Amino acid sequence: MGAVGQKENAHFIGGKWQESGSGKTIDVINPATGELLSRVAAGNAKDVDLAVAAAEKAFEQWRATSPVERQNILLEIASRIEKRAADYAMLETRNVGKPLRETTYIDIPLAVDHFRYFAGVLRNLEGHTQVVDPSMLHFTLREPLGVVGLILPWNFPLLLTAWKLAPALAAGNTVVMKPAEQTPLTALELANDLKDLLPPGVLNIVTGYGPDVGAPLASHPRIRKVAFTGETTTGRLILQYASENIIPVTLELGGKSPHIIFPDADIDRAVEGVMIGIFLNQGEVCTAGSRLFLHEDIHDLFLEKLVAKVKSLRIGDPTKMETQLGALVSREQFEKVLSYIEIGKKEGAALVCGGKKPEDPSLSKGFFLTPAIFDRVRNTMRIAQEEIFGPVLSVIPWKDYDAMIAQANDIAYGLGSGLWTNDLKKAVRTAKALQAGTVWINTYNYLFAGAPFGGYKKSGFGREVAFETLNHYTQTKTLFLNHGDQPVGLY
Amino acid sequence: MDLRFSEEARKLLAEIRRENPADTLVILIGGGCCENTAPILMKNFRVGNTDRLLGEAEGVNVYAAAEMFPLIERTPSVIGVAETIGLGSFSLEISRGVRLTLRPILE
Repeated sequence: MGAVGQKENAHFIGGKWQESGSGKTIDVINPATGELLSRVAAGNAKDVDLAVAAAEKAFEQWRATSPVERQNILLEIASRIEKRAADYAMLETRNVGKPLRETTYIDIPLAVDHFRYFAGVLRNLEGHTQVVDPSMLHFTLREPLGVVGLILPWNFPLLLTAWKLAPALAAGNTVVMKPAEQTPLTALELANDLKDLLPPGVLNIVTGYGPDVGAPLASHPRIRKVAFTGETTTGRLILQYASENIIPVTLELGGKSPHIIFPDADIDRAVEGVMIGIFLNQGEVCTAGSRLFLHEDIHDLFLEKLVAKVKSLRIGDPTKMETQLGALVSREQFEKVLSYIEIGKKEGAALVCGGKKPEDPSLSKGFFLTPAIFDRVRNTMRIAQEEIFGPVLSVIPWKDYDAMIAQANDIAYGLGSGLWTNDLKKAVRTAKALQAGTVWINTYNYLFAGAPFGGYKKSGFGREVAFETLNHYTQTKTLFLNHGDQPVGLY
Repeated sequence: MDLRFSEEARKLLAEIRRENPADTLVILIGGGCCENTAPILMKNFRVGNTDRLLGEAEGVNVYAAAEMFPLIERTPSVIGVAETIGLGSFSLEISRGVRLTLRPILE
């Protein structure tokens, strides 16, 4: 079965496993094989109430811990994940369908590093002091918010747990977290590994469906902040809940990122960059460089090299280290991606390769799809405007720079973007022109703790993974200190 | 636009309608991230001024977010039901082990 320490049909509340009031469970399936991995609790609003109460109870003690104590605890969290990194990587791979080489070298090490990063920067969480006049000082304190609700997506379960949990705990908040119902196993495993480390109630995890757990959590009157990664409609719903409770929200809501190739680019490196952009995690990445703006002068050569490399990608059992492309996360996701292949053809784009189930009979039970490239895509087509969240690349040829930039920005989202050129001036000018939270220059999908991550436009707001993230998990208290002897004299 | 509903979708919507007699139910089609373009069935969601009405079934209005409308309206589509495990959606039907889908009708 799945997570080693996780008890089936139980939430992690108040430092221990507690059976769900609903008595119902959710089957957790390995998307590469269809096998049952585990069963987790299908929680409800009462479970959320219990978790919020546990987090509230723990808050006074947790907020009173010193920065040194919290730093040491976060460092220990990182060490515990690192010691069992191979277990976490395999569990993530089996739960999500992503290649073991990615969970081993990206997901798990980055999760470890994010805990270490926030363990470090929490020591720099400082207020400021001003001399108001000879008898008055003012200074500020950064204080935690209270109980925060963290709602996670399914594509990078442990890594995004770290993105949200590390700053929340670093700043002195307590947490109620809802993992995605299909991919909760590494978060549950982490809770089990931290049972004797975190005081009871500091971290609570309630598993279950969005309407039964996510909505009661996001609308709970005693939650002080919600951090959400997911799609735009749910983001709007969470904002509506937050408007009733008047609490802050941070949202990361996806993207449809432009990836621009200039004619002077180093073609071989750019080809690999494009593949990292769109085929990492089967394209199930919010920053996927899914719109490739390819200059006409190098179009044929570039595409020839790209297609050759894409056709050689090793698709298959994600638990094998040599596998480069795993399974999509579910049947529904698989069918939805297939429907976009049909939409793209119908709209007149040229399917150059992929977009089918692989012929290998050993893969027939998993949700595998050969990586697809559409050429001669227009930016107004649905495959260029909608986030497909799969291994589907739309190639949009360009010649005129200004028209290309206008098209790159002609999109509802603004999360990631990338460009390849050896012309420094062109690179900086283009980076400034792009409406996106991140611009990768001669690289793509590179993440680093300390580099703020977040969206422009409908990709959301707030920045994760960086020092400023601590601002989203704290509030400022201003203190005035009168150290003079004289009365004010106004009365 | 040409928006149709499968029999299963109508039955499902009618059932959820009956279970929530006092609530306003709407479907809003947004996009992005893990759910991408998908119908999200919600109760008491405040529809925005820029959301566009696409159709109606069983007392449930279907809207598209402003940025989605010009994309969806040109593709004849059907709202159906798939048996699937949830992936984090807040859509009301998800806890029944099914998911409302939006698929193009490609004739």
